[in-house]
Amino acid sequence: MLFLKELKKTVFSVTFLMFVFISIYLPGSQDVLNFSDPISVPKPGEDYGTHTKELPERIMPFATARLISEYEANSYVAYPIGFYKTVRLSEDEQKQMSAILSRLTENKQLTYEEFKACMQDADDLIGGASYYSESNLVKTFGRVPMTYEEALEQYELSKNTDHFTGTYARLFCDYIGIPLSILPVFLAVAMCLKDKRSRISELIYTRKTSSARLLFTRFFAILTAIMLPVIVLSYISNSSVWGMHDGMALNYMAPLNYALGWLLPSAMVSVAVGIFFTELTGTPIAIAVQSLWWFIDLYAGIARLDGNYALFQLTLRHNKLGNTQAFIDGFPTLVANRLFFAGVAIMLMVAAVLIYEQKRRGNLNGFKASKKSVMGLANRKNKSEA
Amino acid sequence: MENLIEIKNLNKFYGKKQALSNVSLTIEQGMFGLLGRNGAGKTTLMKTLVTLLTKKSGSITVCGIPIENAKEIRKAVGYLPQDFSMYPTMKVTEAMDYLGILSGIETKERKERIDMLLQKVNLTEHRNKKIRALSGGMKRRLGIAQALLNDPKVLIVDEPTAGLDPEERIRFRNLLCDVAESRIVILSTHIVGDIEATCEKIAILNEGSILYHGTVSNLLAAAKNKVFTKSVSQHELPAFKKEYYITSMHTQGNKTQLRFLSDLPIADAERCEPNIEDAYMFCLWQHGEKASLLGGAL
Repeated sequence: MLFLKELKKTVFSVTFLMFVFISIYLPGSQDVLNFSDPISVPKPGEDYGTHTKELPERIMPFATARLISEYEANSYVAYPIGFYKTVRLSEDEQKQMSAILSRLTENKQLTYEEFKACMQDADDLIGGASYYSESNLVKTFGRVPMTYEEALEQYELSKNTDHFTGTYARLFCDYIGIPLSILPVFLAVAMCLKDKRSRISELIYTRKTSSARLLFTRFFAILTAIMLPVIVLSYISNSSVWGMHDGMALNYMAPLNYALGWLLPSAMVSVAVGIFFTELTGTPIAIAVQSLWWFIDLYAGIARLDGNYALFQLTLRHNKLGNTQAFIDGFPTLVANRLFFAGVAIMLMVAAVLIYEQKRRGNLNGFKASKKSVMGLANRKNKSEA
Repeated sequence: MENLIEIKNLNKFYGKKQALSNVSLTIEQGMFGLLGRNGAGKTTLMKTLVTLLTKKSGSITVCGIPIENAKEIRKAVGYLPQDFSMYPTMKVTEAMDYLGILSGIETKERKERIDMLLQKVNLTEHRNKKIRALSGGMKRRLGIAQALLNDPKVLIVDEPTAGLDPEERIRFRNLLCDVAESRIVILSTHIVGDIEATCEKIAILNEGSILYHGTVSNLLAAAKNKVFTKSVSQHELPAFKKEYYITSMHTQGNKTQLRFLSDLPIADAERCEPNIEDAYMFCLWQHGEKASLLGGAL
């Protein structure tokens, strides 16, 4: 009953309507609510696009040539947390880079392992996130045209592993996962601040119900309100391809499985951050915290757009239709990642319950405490200035 | 289990400021008034009794339950805070239902109690109104209804009549007396008239300490022969104000009829029967508040 009441409170709020609007608008604007490209059997002689492959005979000359060119201009490109940056090295550092280039060009018997070690040294000298970092090397210099056999293999994986629908569900998750890692925090903050704004907190505090029951019910109610439209949109998106693959063995559970397995942990974190920081401070600061995390995470993940999952990446990316092999290869990391973030969310909720319990007993008053800390700091600063 | 609240040597601090100092009280079934100025510590005491604040030292038992057992205390106590409100967009019954769920009341019982309580506080016809559409008086009555949802043995109401018009105030007092028949009702207020109309037993709290604990009649008896009336001219008035504590004054033409406190009889002044307002002020006066009370009327 409490769950239904909390769900109703959430759903009949302006913040929720805005969430639904953005959730529909964003994937709609990216054409992932109505897919028009079917996955079809490749025919010999077609253009199958490109893919990255760790081919030393291709990567080594291209990467070396690029490094020489950047060395000569003393202008190295890097993408720290996803942002473009040019790096200029000092005279001493250029000498070190020159020594690296000598190792690369003068040794005719250079193995691929030795080459990668040289590139790592060059990346360290530049300050990381350059074209020569381990994660960027293959992605930047290993892009090659796909062969017919490879395209056929991709098709078979989409057909047999993803049953086609999984491929599209993954692409939908890639797009909707971005707003879903940030928008729920607004809803969580609004719901928690509603008690304060309505001056009902004291009435709730003096009720029999436990802090754990109340906060976890709120948590699951907000999550349900968020995930219901997401699951509906996921099915709307996925059903647009069912007709294109008529007669094939489709997995109709894929939209649900992906929504719960891929998207739910991101939403859980966002909601938990919202509840935790709002209960702690009595302010909407959670929005700033989550926005900062989301922003850094998103840009740091630009290097991992097409299915190269990282353990601590909040918004998982798979911005490519197909690429099932990358999904299979990264699946253990993906599972660990999702379990990790679900765990983080639960931990934050447990901490929020402890804080709420203290507030109920008058031992903690979020806003007053934060104001006191800020004033204390300001006073200390003023004293030291005086 | 006996309906009794026992408070012994209760102390409460806000940082270094002592809000309650060695407060000891025994409160039995029926209406109990807690009187004091704004900032006397009434709300702190109320909040401590409903587990919204923790004490520094001392002991409290509510119907035999130690205050540390917050869950059981919450089952036994109903609370109407001073700053009462609910979700403004919820309807009256929805808000009651929500709080009833939080009180752990089963669905069937909850529905019955909501119907019964709304009838009791005369809000049945407004049950489908949104909270924001209720008048101040209706909100306070709803406040009582929500505080009685869990059929508590103790009802604590903090400054419930502030801002109500006279008609609503009388209605509210009668309602409180009604519900006090089977439980302890603690009425905390700085409005002496509310206590006079409802309570037989009271305590007076001042700067965190209990100045008086007993019956209203004993409080009145203590002020007997200490209240006088006198008619003074306009030019005598300032000097009189400086010397005596005036509890009321009425100006008629050039003369002002004064009611004031004095330990000794005054020439041309008539002794009169104290009312509870006089007795309350006399109590404060007796306990070292003379300096702050001199210089004006109540």
